[in-house]
Amino acid sequence: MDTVIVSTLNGVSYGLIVFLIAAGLTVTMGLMRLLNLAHGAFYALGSYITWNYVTQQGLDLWLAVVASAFTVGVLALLLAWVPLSRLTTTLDGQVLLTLGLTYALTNVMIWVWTAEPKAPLIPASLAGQTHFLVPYPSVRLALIVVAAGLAAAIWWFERHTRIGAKVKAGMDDPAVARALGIDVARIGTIVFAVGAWLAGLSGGLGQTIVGVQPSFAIDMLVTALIVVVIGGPGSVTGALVGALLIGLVQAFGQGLFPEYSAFGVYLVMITMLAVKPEGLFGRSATRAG
Amino acid sequence: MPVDTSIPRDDLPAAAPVAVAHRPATGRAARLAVAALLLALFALPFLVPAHLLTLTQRILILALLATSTDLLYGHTGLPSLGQGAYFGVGGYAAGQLMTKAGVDSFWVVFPAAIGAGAIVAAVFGLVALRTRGSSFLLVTFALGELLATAATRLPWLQTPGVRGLTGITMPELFPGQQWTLVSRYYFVVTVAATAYLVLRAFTNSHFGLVLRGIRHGASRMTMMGHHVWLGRYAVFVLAGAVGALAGQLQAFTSGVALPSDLGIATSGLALLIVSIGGPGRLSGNLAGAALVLAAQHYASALVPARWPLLLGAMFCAAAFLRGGGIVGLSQSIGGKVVTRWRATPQP
Repeated sequence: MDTVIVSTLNGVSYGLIVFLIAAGLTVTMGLMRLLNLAHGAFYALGSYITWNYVTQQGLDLWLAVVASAFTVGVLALLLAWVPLSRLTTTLDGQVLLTLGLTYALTNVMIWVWTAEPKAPLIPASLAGQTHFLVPYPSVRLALIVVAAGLAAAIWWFERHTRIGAKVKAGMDDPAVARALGIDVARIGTIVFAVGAWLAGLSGGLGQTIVGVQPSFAIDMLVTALIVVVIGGPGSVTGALVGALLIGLVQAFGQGLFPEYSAFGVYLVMITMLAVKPEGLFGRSATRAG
Repeated sequence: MPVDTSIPRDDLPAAAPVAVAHRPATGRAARLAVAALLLALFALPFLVPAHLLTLTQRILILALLATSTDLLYGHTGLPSLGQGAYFGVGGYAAGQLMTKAGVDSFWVVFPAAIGAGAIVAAVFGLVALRTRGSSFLLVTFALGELLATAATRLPWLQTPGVRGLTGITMPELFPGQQWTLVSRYYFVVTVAATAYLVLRAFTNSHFGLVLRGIRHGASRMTMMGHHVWLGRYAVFVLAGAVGALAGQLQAFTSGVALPSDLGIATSGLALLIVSIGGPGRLSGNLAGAALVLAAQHYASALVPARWPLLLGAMFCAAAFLRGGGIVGLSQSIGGKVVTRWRATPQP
């Protein structure tokens, strides 16, 4: 029983981190028709900048996480203004540009922080274990609370605010949304920057579990993309359900079939595509063509 | 604002419309160019040092991989970011046969590796073709990463103590054959040229035209009685076979098969080559491979640690090179020159 609880907690904490990455990705895909393959690099950058703020500048960890998220968000804003806005029209242009950015950013990260994996940084107050049903690392519990709060905020924001409604209107029919006076392009830029901010934030939070190394730029991207495919591009609810599913499959897979646990996420994706190719909460229009 | 109803709202066009009209390369000039290129390739060992032969070899191999990507992308409008999967499968299948089963004959290994690529593509195609557009790209990407994960995790896919498969050699065309640097080069040129001629005939065939029709308007092709899904599936399997062909050549000549052959590093490179060269053209695939690999050859000699940064910059630059790539660009410049020359009154 204890192992079930531990696996569930592991799965939920990992799944929530993945959700924070996938949320920005899925909304930019739905709203701006923009496939951003540099999103994983934003995550890795968030981790590295956090590491840098803590070990080099001596900042408090939580402060460093927030500061690095803003650094990544500003970088993304510059990116959205200058080259991305010109390239939202074709898929190949987006893929080349964002994949190129991933390579370039990864190489810069290796240049600045070396290819050596960095160990997780944990605040001293959360270094021990807390008894929540079972003894469990305090930092992971804190992570679940913070990430769940953020996830709830995103979910609420999408459903109950004017901007959330505008985002959904832009996804459903950009031409009509524009005709109604909604600046779809500007909302797209804001969503892109907020998504990058979230990816940077999840980088800072995620490194408390797994540390950071350059290959995470691709690894996290693949995981987030699988979540987007499972949940359905454009759907925040889908991304949340998909991410939790992936997290739990990963955690229980590690407990039950440690050698094959890495394949679990792919299996979920393939099953999903076989049963419902538009994703859990996808719009059926994505099947057209 | 004019609304283009031919494209479903949720699907981006895979590529910008190509400015230069696609004409099947069957004219006399094209045939002459192919013959001249083949002649040059066969004369090369007498002209250049050994390291350039190795580079040329690699250009030909990656041009084949690019063609595998382009059969889906430029010809059929299916943007695949996972052709590395079949490249790797070809290399791993050949490597497993040679190092673990002890089969050395070209006549066994060669068809077996191509078959392995086609079989994997036949399975993956069923999954990937459930989606279109950017979702198709994501799924092919993820399937490639699935195989890369398998190659890193499963011990029976590795040489003990190494993360890849090592000790692969050139296969024997006849028992007791010894390979030299030059004969190996001629082997690659022959295989690549044969594959090129076959694929050229294929893309200019009726089926090749059907694929272009699918790319431009799938619903219209359905209306005209073509089975669109089957066309896409067939070309997906064919592209898998071509990828595996390239992959096994790579394994033969380099002696190793690596997990990175299967994943995004290889698939992304293939897409870059296609875009730089100009999608939908076999000549573009070759030109793109030559440009990218020559850049890699010289840049990684000069600044080995910063090559990925340069590669990233090349990707970003290619993003702005809309439509026809270098071949399209040179054609449109050449076309303008010819038009101007024709317009000038002849004395």
